[in-house]
Amino acid sequence: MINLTIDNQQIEAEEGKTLLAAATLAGIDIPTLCYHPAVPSAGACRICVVEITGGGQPGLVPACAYPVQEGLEIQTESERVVASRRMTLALMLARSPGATIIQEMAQEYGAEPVPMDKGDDDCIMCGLCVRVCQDVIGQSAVCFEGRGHERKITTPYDKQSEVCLGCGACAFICPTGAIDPADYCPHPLETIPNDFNCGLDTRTPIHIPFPQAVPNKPLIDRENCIHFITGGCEACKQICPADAIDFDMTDEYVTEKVGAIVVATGYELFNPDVYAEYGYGRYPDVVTSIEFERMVSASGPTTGELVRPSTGKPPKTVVFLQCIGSRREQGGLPYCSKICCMYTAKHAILYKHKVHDGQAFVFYMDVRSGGKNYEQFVRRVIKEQMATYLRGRVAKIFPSDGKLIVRGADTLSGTQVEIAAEMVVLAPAMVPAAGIRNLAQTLRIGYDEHGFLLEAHPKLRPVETNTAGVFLAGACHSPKDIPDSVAQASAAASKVLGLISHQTLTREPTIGIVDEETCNACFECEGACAYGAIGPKELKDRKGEVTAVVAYINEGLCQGCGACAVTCRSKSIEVQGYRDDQLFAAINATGR
Amino acid sequence: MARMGVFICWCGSNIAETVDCESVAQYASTLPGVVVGRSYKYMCSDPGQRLITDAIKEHNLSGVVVASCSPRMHEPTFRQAVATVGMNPYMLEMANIREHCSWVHTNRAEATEKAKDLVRVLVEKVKRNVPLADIEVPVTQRAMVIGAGIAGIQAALDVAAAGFEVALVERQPSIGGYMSMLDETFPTLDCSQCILTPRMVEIMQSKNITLHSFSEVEQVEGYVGNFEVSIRKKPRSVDMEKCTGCGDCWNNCMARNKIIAPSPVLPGEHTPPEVAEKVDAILATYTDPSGMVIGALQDVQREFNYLHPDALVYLSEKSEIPLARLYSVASFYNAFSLEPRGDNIIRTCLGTACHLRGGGRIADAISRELGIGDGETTKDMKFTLERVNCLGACALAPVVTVNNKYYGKMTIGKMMDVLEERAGQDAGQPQEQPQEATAV
Amino acid sequence: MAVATQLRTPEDLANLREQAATRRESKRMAIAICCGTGCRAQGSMDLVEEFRSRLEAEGLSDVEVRATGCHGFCERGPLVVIYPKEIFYCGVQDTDVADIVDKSIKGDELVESLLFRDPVSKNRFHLEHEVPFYAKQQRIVFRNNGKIDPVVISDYIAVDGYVALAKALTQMTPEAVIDEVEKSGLRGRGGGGFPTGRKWRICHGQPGDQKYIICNGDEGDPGAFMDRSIMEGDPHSVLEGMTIGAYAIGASRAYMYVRAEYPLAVANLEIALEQSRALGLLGEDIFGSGFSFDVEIVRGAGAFVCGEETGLISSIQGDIGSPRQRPPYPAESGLWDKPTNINNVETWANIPVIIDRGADWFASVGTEKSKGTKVFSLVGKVQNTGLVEVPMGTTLREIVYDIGGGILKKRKFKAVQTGGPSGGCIPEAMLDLPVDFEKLRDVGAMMGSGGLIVMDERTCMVDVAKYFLAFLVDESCGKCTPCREGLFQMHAILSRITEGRGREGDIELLQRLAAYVGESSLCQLGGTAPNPVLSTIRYFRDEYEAHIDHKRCPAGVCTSLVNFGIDSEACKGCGLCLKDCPTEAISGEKKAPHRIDETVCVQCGVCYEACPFDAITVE
Repeated sequence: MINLTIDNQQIEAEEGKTLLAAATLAGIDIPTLCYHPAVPSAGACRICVVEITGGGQPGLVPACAYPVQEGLEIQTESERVVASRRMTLALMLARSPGATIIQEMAQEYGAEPVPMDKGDDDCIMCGLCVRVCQDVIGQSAVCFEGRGHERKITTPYDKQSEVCLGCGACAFICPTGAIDPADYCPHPLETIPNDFNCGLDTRTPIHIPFPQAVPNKPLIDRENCIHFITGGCEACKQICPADAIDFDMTDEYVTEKVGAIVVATGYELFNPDVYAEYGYGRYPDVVTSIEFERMVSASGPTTGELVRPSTGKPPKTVVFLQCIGSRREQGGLPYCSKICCMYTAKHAILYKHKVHDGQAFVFYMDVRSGGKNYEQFVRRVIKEQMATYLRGRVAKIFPSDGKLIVRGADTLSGTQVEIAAEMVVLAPAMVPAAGIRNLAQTLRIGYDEHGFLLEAHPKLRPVETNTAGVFLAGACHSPKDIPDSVAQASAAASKVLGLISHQTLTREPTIGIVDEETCNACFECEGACAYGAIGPKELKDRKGEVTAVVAYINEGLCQGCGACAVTCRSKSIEVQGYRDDQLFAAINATGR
Repeated sequence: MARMGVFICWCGSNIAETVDCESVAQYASTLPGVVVGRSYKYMCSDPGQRLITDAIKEHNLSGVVVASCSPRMHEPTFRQAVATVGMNPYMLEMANIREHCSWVHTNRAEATEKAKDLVRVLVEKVKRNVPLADIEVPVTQRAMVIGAGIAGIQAALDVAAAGFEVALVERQPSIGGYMSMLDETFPTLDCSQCILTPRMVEIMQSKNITLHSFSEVEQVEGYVGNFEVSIRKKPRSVDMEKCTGCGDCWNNCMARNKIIAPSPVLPGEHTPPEVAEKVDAILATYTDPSGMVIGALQDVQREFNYLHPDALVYLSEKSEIPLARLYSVASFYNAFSLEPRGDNIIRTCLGTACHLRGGGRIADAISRELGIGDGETTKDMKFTLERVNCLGACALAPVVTVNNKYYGKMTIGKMMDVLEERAGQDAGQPQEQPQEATAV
Repeated sequence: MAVATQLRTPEDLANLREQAATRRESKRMAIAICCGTGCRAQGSMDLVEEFRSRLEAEGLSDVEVRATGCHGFCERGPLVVIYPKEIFYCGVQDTDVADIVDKSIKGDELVESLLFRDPVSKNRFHLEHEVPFYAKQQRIVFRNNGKIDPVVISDYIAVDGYVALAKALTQMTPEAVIDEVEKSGLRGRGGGGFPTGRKWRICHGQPGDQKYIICNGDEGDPGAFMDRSIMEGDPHSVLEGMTIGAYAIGASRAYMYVRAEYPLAVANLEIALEQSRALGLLGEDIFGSGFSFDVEIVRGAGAFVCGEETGLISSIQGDIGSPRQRPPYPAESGLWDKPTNINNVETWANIPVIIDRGADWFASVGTEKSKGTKVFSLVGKVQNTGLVEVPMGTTLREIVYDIGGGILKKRKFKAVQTGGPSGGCIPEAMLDLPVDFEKLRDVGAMMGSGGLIVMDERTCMVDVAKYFLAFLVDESCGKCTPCREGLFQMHAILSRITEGRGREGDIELLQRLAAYVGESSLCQLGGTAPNPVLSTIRYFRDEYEAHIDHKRCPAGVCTSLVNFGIDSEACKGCGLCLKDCPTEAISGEKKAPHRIDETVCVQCGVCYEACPFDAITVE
């Protein structure tokens, strides 16, 4: 540890740290421009100069690049320091009069305008972009050209750089916003969509899923992380104060022993882009209901302000379309998604809350509002004219004059209607979560043609499955709203508790047993057993030495089907209660 | 010796309408080893059950056959009944004369015969039954919940609240599911996150819940009460123990866009072979690529009379030194030219001594004469003018060199003569000589 | 080259020296022809050829023709010295060869017309050491220049070359070498004046197996060329110094960074390296001491900033020559992050003498704090330009007047500029200043690498300041704001002053900017860049004021402020001005007063320079 004094404050700092790091740790603020903690310091812009007043060669040194030394005495705001910063800013202002951050800092430091030759380049030549590209990203797409005052930032031969990853680090790190990677990258730049906000905004490869996520810790999306693509960039690792970044992590396997399993894998939304007539994916103002949720959410990408994606202005007319994919025998799903009628009514209310003079229309097939207070809720929406309900389907949506023309039928009046909408919200069908079939097979439980998991009995055992000990909760079973999901979850929990609150479980004894005397350990039975109940067992003598290996039938797993018994060539397996002599006697007794 | 009892159920009219139950009972009593045969309207009813238990006690029965509905329906009922009077439940079996007989037949006589057959068969089997004991399987008193949306969260919390451990597996990096994305919920319009987040936090706080986020179920083995579930925990690349969630990493993440990984280039793929050949020859003279940059660039410039772009690209590809660095270096040093240069490279010295003795005027005069500025080349590629900051021949000030030939104590007049002489020479003639100063 | 026998012991070296010396002495006479860049440019290589063929034709096999390094007096080249008598001929052309051979080789006569004639006293001098240019010099660094052929190693060995190395390696410990150098008081000749021994000791004390030595031959100061002459004329002295230094410091590898503008230096050094390796003076286990060492030449590519140590290192590593913030100093973390010791050419060349003749002898030369000699390149508006080596403490007046022969064309002395672009201008009042590191610094100049530029009354000091700033703006690497932007703005201000657009307050603004650039810049290029401006303002403020307040350039240099005319009284009609005028603005008949057409004149000043009668007037 090194002791030094910064602004008359005694400070301890680790050897090798810079004055800037030591000061920051002590809560002393030093302005910087060409500095970023993940990038090697250059000491180029000279904004962070501080004065050595004792303990070393007196003078101005850049805090970002000067190492701490025993006994140094530093002043960070001395007259000399301030005068130097003032002149630095005056010179930067002369070069880059348009750079906002320079204007602000110049004002803060009272850098008076000096009669100088003026430039018009926002680039203050701090070189962060070059350093980040070379030293952090590891690509060297941008570089300096020339030297001195003629120096500029460019790519070789001013051509778009073949090595540019398009990552945008240069623009991110530029203090004045002077660089645009689109100028340098030969490929169109594409941001990383933020799934939590349905791609309505962007995120970085290392991210937390959303602000209130649990656990509230970040993760790296390896598909987009520079380090995992090129082996370069370790900025997060450099920066992490807790040294928590671990690029070497691999899949980790853990085994949990449990007595019961609840499957609650939920649902996804049907992708409406298969229906060309609705224009989803083509017209930015056609959105899905979950996107609409994010758009009106205070934690969403627009912090709750509902705007048209195309214009950024609030939509004055919104058309809601129910049953997108659901209740559609041809080219869709035959079942009712159950929740769409209700949330569309809710959306109409939310819309009215956001856009008071807005006009909402709902195209529906039937309004299904079974549930406590549900019907009253929908009634309220209709009665209070929060939305105009039109019974019928929409045939086509097409853009015209900055709006979307929604053409559909009002079957109640028997007329065709056309609505010039500024936004269209689709209510897609609920479908089981992706991968549900694999999971069902792993758990040996059934699923229907759509992938919804099968209960053991539709009436009497709605939370159980055909596999003992596996239970269902929520929308993995069928479309459900929140209260239904929660109710089923609690039901499943009680079933689980009924099972695991006992230390043992009783099973019928009608299972296979092996005659260990005659078993010749051919293990044909093992292959025949559909339940994986048969395995080898070592027989040991009194000394504990293995004398023989025989087939062993796990009592818990054996279903008593008898496949092993008929497979066994040495006739060493019989099923209790269904022994051969019993069955032969029974057959003989048929008397025919 | 077996002492069997056979009990025929009418199942109201379900069986009795098609099967003559009483005659089957009669017939059963005649079978070897059967000591009692009875029929009754509802054998599953209390009096029916009592009929059986009483018969067991009265006749000291060793086995029982009940001919009635499917064992799926009432086998547990009857087995429990016989157990109350001390008979091993597995000494009772059921002949299914409903689903297998009365319901599927219409001819009463034939159906009755079939019922008799079924009873006879079962009697022969049960006679050979031996008492069996139920198997007790130990139970792992923990549970797993797969999926941590609101349903999974609720199930996990309920089980945990009862005092049992729960392993909660979530595929996504965070729990919460769709509900965490919702704004307000019908029909009460309460804020979705406001009611959900306390539940999510509870998951983290509960001592009974182990959360496996960003994890997937890979394999399930075992059976009810004894499952072994293998979970693949996907790598977050962040050590959850150490991470404090401070945000420095994602606030400073450098990748703001999707990455377009550059396609690998084979060295020389786009290089004219004659250029590659020359550069290869230059590279062969260097052993240590790290320190060679400036020397190699000088050699390239000597070879091509300027830094040929193809040569620079090829040099970069072969040496794996980024092109940007080569370009940067090439444009930094005065000695390098990125533009093709003329046959005659005129360097006018502007060192202090030359400046004082009018070197600048000579440079200006050449500029005027040739119509080119500093670093430029005449259109006919005859002359390139470079102003240099000291040729180190100060005693001869002002000094000019043409293709490294020194002209000392120059005047504008002498300079014009030199230009005239050089202009007369054939194009492409004397390129810049690498070697030292020669006399005038 | 024949495969030489490796020198394994000091005795081997002594034997070789004996042979070489005998061979040299076996010749009756030696004709030493200066083949430094200056003399070459004036035709000395032709002279070598001419002498050789002439002697052969005459059958004079007992006369050696020696192509030597720079003799220093470049102004009067090509120079020819005939040993053993030391007859000194200057301005020799190949047409003179026959005459010289006839008179001075075959006979015992002098060729009068080729003797040096002092422009002041008009006296002729026939021996080299009598020539005033050489008389006051003391040649330690230049001890061999002019005496030996730089591409013949035996020549160097014949004059006791590599004796010091043998001594250091076989009789001294590294610590003893460092002690000796420290005791000698030698200070870095590159400009900083840091004590060389102390520098070595710091690097010697660093942990680590791999250390590097760098010889800084990037002589970037405009107006300085002494390192060039040493590298060209006596490369082995530099290599020997470096080898001794490497032994003391514990380095096994060295880089010699030579300016690209010095092709002859590169060539001669390469030859020297090859020869040294052949003799085992470089390579493995030198003199059986177990010490191994080799040197690699790196050609610079033209960047003044590479004179800065960290810039130089970056350049050797194949990158742009941008300096980096220090600490860490190169002694701790230099080339490829290893401890690295950097000295310039002249410093290294001093080392063999110190080891050979002892620290006490060396310390007896010079002043209290500055020991030894210093080589200056005496150039500008002075009669005798060339390289001069004088003991520290010699006054500027002695250098300018006694050695330099005073100002050209008897014009008035105005200032002498030392230290290159980092230095300052010293006015007449301070001409009696004894030259050493401290004294120069005290007056706002600096030693620098030894450029000494004499300025006369026709030198505009604002223009000089502008010149240096233009140089620095061009040479700034552009990394840090003060140097890149500050110097640019200072140059802009000076430009407007010299163009007659100066404003009140510009001098103060210049001073503020200068102070700022000086203390806020990253490296010493920026740190010392304001010196020329500050020192000219300090001593020649009136010239600034004349430009700003009266819009005139007293020296007649700043073309925007000058109108040239012809004094018809003084004009003799010689036509020189007319001939040189680039725009044909001058007209007139021979032997009649000429006229300048102001509408065509571009104020280039050629006529002003050309006129031998000072007939061109300045308004």
